[in-house]
Amino acid sequence: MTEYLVALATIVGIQILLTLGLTLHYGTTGLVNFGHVAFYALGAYASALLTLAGAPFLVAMAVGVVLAVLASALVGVATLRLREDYFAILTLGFSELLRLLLLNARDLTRGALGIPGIPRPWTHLPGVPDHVAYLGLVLIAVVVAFVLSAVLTRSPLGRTLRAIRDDDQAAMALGKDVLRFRLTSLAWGAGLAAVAGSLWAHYVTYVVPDQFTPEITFYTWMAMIIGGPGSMRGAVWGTAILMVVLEGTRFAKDVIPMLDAPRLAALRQIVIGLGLIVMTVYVRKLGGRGRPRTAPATVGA
Amino acid sequence: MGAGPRDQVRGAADQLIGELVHLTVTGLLVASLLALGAVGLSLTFGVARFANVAHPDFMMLGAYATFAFNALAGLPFGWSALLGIAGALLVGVPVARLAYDKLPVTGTVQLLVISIGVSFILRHAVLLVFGSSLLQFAVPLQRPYVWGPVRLTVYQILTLVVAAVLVLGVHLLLSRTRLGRTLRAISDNPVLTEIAGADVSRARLAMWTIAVLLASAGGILFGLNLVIQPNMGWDLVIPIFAAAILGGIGNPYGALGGALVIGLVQEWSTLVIPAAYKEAIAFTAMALCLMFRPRGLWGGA
Repeated sequence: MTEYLVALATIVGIQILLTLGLTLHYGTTGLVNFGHVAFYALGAYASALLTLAGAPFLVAMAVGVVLAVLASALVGVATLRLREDYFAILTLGFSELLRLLLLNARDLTRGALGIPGIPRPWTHLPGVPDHVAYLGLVLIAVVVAFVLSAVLTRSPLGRTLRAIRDDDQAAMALGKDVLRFRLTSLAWGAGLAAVAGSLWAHYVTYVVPDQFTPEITFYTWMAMIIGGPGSMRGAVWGTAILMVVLEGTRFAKDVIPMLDAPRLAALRQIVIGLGLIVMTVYVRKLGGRGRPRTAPATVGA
Repeated sequence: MGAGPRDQVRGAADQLIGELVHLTVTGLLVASLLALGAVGLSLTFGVARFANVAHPDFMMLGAYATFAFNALAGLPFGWSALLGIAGALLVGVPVARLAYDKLPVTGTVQLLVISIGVSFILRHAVLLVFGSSLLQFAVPLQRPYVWGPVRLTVYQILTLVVAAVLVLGVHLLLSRTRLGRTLRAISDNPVLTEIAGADVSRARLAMWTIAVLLASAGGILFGLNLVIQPNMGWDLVIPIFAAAILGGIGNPYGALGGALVIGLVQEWSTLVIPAAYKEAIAFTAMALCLMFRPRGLWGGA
């Protein structure tokens, strides 16, 4: 049971990193990122391939982060000037394109076979079981990411990002370089997602393109919406609630005997879909750009 | 004497032309299926003013409803197709009305996220009922008719004809009827149309009916030529959005042109790039179009 709880806490921690990143994108800056999983996948694959080639874990993770930030800049420069719904579709397309590449660049990624045997760092610490040590590593990452995100949103940069979210025209009129600020936000969130991907790869020690479907993106959206977009603390408990509910549906098998594994998985996805709809209606803050809001941010100096 | 170099060149040229004709025919078939999705998507984008990601799932609904009547209940294909469209309408239109017209939300982003939820629910509800395996309609195999390098089965001819008739029907509806005029007016200016006394709610009911009808017909033709699976709609999200965006989103005629461009270029591309990457064509075309011609190739409204 303890082992199960440690595993659950590890997965929740990794998902919190993803949610914090998306909260910076959407909650703070208003970027409708539907391709979050792409940055996660980049972090996971870069970290997996480099450690297998002999690089130390932290170096591999850092390269993953750099790759994700570069990818975010590429996507951002191409699409950030567009309307939010176009940006959404294009980021979704980008994440699917990346998955297609991972599936087909077999020389590098072994395609659908995936990459097994990714080493797990922090093993053989004296007196600490491996999975507990890894949870410790994930928790350190979560705390660092949380503090960073919280400081970032409260800084003048964060104020500007919120001003852009609330009214990009006004921010522009005040002389803010809206595109540059949006790119900055996109880069931070992408970096966090890459850290999450790296931690995931070294936790499950096996990556395959099937792990990086848009489902991950929309789980993250769900977690962010539950917690209330825009709040870093909300990102943490929103993720915790989502993951516990998702895990809880696993036990539905014991109650409803006719459900086999694929049907149970389908039922979970239906719950996710219903949850997205209900929470979107319920959480009023999830508006579009240019809509009136209760508490407009002030543009700081 | 064996074949001279000139004969070899002529042989290669014939082969290339044969290949090109074959790819063009396939491209036209792909284009007809995409058009049936993209025309409806464009219409709803213009009138309801949000990107309905669940639109291609209406295709999936039509295909599965037809499968139920045809392969499970044993009805002939023609009747099954008509009942399948009716079934898709009975499910799809109330779902669209409820999720997009009746919920107390108005923002583009809210409706976009809700449509993701609708897509999750539709796909996995079908998975729950029919399972995830690839399914085929109970229709006899047909020997293709051959005209020179052109080879077409009767199903493929049916696909081209039905797509052409339905798109022409939408054109007549939009250009010649009172309903069409109302829909075009809402697309131009919803507030003014309502002030002028048009029944916007009724027009939207008609719009969802047209959209689901076109999409489900497309899905049925898809199933007639290929195999169906619960993700068939989701897999078409990017190509269908690409077709609609290339055509200038909100412009149903443009969507037809966009579908032709995507279908043909995607198939022709296999002459120069590996076929596994042809799915990237739609995304690339969409991204380039949004960057350089955001109002579509034809510059429509």
